[in-house]
Amino acid sequence: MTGLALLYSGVFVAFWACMVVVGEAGPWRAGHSMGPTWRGWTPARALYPGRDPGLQLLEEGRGFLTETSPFMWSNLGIGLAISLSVVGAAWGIYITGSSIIGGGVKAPRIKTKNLVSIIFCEAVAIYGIIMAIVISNMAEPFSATDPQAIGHRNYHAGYSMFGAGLTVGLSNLFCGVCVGIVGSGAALADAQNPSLFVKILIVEIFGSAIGLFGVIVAILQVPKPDPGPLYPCPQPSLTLFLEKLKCSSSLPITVESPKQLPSPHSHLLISSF
Amino acid sequence: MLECSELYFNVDHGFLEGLVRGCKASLLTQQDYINLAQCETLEDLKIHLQTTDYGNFLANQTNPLTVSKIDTEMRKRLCREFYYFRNNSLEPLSTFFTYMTCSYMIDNVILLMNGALQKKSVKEILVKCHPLGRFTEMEAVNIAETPSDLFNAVLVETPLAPFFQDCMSENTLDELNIELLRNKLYKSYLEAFYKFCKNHGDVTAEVMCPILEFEADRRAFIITLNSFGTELSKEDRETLYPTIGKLCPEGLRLLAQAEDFDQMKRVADHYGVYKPLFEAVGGNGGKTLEDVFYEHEVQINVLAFNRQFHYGVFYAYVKLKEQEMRNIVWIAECISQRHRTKINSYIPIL
Repeated sequence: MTGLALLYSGVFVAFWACMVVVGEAGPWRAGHSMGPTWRGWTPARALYPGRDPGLQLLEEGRGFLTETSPFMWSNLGIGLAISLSVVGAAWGIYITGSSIIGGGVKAPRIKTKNLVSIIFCEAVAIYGIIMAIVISNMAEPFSATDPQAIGHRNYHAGYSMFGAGLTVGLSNLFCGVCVGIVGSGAALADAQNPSLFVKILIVEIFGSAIGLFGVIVAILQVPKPDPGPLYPCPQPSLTLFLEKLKCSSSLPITVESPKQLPSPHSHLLISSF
Repeated sequence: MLECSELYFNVDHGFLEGLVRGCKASLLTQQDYINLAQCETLEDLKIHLQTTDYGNFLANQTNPLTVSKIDTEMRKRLCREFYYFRNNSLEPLSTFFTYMTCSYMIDNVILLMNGALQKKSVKEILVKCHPLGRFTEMEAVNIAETPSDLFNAVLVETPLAPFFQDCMSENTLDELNIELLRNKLYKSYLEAFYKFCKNHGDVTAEVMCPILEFEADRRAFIITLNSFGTELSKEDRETLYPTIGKLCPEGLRLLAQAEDFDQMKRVADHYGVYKPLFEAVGGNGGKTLEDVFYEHEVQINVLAFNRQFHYGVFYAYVKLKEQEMRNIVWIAECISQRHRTKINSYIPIL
């Protein structure tokens, strides 16, 4: 058990280290326009006199969320879809498999019939790979580095793919474990009394259905494929022109794009460039 | 999440659990016992046993077949199965198996010491020792005079070493002291086993702890019963009771004061589990207290198989197999002595 605890805590620490590093990287790189200039690197958490702490947290979050490319989110989603599904399937297969082997010593007739449980677990991994392929087909390259140029559509696409991957991955993880535990019980019960197998298989089918729910929700979550390329976003040319102006000067220019969702802090998003 | 044994039990122990459940399925059924009870001779018994999972285990026996030969062969068979489980097990199941063998080791040590006291040869006694409780240096037990000798010379390397803490005294080993030594060793062993199961937690603790509590209480009752009319003082008696059962602390204190069977029965009446057991004693079947306790033990051991992913199945299987062996020996004795009135007093495992 210490191995598992080590794994969980290691993943946790690694994840938050990434968050902190990436979160620092944005404001650090954007250095001078963040307020009073400071020499050397100080953590973004340091409170400067006269700064509103609430605003600062938002800027940090903003720093992280806008400094990370939507590509990271989409690829994380694809990775999670396949990897968590495979973890679930593997877990289920070994739980069932060892019970089948043990029970099959004294009751060899159960060996072939109980492979059905293994197939149910394997189906979970197949859902995962299908979703991973579907999600990865949605991703198309774009080139932009600042949030305004990336545009809300790309952000939306990135977050959706992450969400879809997480949905299908986690639901398949638990589905695989569930089918595995029930399959183990089915194998041992079958060894004692052959009429029990079909009854427990019904329980297993219900367990398998929950993985399917995850797939359905994930399909609904992935962004609908656009008829045209994702970038550049269809925006009025005036906005584009203003953007080009803005990038070349350091004057704070408020750009009102009709596609932009109204947000109380939108002036903050722009004023830092 | 960490307490769920379903998630990780099968990594190390899945195969063995499947195997032991298969072995349990091949225990003799009620129908088998009825067939065995109808046998006229031991040869018939052997033929009937061939149709069960026992197979040809008596094939190489010379005529005439005796009950003790049957018993020895059955024990050897159980031992082979047990060693197969143990050799294929991983920690912490291996420690669990070691704990299971300790009770047989204690019996063997006491048997050897008694034999030494009566000046019997070591070889004779070794034949009677239980094979599950085998440990190296068994032959050296007869040279010990005092418990501390015994410990330092022989038992320090066996798994029994930690149980000797309460038993170290300079008294020479005579008959009474040997029995006291047996009970004290068993008490330490039971408490250590209980603590091991409890610390393991999860389903194993839920299944094993009630079984061990019953074992502790049963020992307390049997010690009390056996000490009526002996010169064992009440304080001594109380030190022999294991403290992990339901009877501790009130019941044990009352039991230590009991003088006869009725007083013991009154102590048991305070406990909902033991009251019906004591009421079943005597009755029309002529059951003794030990018979009643065996029946109850069979019931709780069979219940252990209702849950999955715990170590209790291994313990329960060995105990049920032992009960089956006792049943077969009982039937065989009744057949060989042609005293068939009580042949149906075996305890079927349902």
